[in-house]
Amino acid sequence: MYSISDENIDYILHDLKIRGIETESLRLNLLDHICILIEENLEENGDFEKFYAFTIRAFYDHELREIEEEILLSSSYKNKRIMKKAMILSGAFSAAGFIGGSLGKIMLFRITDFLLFLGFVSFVLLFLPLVFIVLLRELKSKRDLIIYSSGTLSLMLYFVCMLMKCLGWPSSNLQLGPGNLGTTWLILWLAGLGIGSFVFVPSYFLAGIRRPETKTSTIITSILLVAFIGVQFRLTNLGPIRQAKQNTYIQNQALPEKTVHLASYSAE
Amino acid sequence: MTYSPELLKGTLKTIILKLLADNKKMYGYEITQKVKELTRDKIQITEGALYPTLHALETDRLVTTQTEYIGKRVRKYYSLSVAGKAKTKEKLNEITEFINTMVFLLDIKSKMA
Repeated sequence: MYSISDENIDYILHDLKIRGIETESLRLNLLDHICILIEENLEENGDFEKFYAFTIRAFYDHELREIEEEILLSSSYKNKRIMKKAMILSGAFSAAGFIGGSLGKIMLFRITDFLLFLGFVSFVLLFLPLVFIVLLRELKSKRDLIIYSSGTLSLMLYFVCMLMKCLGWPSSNLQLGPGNLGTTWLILWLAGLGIGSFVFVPSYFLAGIRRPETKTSTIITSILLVAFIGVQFRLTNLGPIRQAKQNTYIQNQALPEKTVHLASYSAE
Repeated sequence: MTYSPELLKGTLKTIILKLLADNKKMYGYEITQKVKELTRDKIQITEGALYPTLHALETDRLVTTQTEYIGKRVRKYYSLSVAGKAKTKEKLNEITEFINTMVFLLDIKSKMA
């Protein structure tokens, strides 16, 4: 019985790619199938390349790409591909909007707000829903549904609030609160953070920690998420606007009168 | 005697679904071997027919997958989803009716008698 080496696997994977097998899951399926056939039928000191060429020939009529084409032609797979392409395009479009808006901010261009608006809108209304639909198609359990839906909803609310903040509806100072952007904004903001911290992070953590292969990455990502949400919550001003700020405003309003008064006093 | 691929094409999904219903989880090569064994080599599923069918079943969410790493290579196990279990019953009923119709249409019973 022949024992397949890592070099043999690399050779097969490379050859499958050259022969036009682009879909990763198909490539891995074929690799495993070929490996079993070789292991079961080739002698210990047999010629691997020769036997591989002989084995792969039995997989097709004209060329190996036929298998790939059959998969690509199935209508359900076509829809999946279109959906994925639309998701990538909308993601790229919103990323371009964010980058353009940020550059415009540095250069003090007037178009900044418009680009940011486009970036946010395509991110919230196109990219995130498409990500959710694509993930939904690969759903494996009810827990996955909770993770995907809470994550998407939380991000949508977060970005809607950030859009309102970036465009200064009606204020854009760092202290967020009901006095600045209104109660509706605060409810949306806290709902986004709440869903993220109390639904998404715990379900994501519990799902990932149980699998040995994702344990470390889950712990790191969860800590980063908690830190991020914590900072966002820290920036939220839950109380009323401080009296001192209003006083400052009143004092500033009164300043020109005082200046006139002082000027007339010094003239005397 | 082996059956022609044309004859098998319309029944491949049903064959795979039934095998997955009888066995908890299976991988591609295992499916081909099981079919060969059960039919005493009369039905031989080719790789070119098997993997597009498995892919279609996965895209339609009739099967779920589980991967297992064997060194550097990955083995993909297929098992029936809840929707797949219902579809298997539906497909089996359909093929039973189809066979009965063909028996009647081609007058196979009287010829056999």
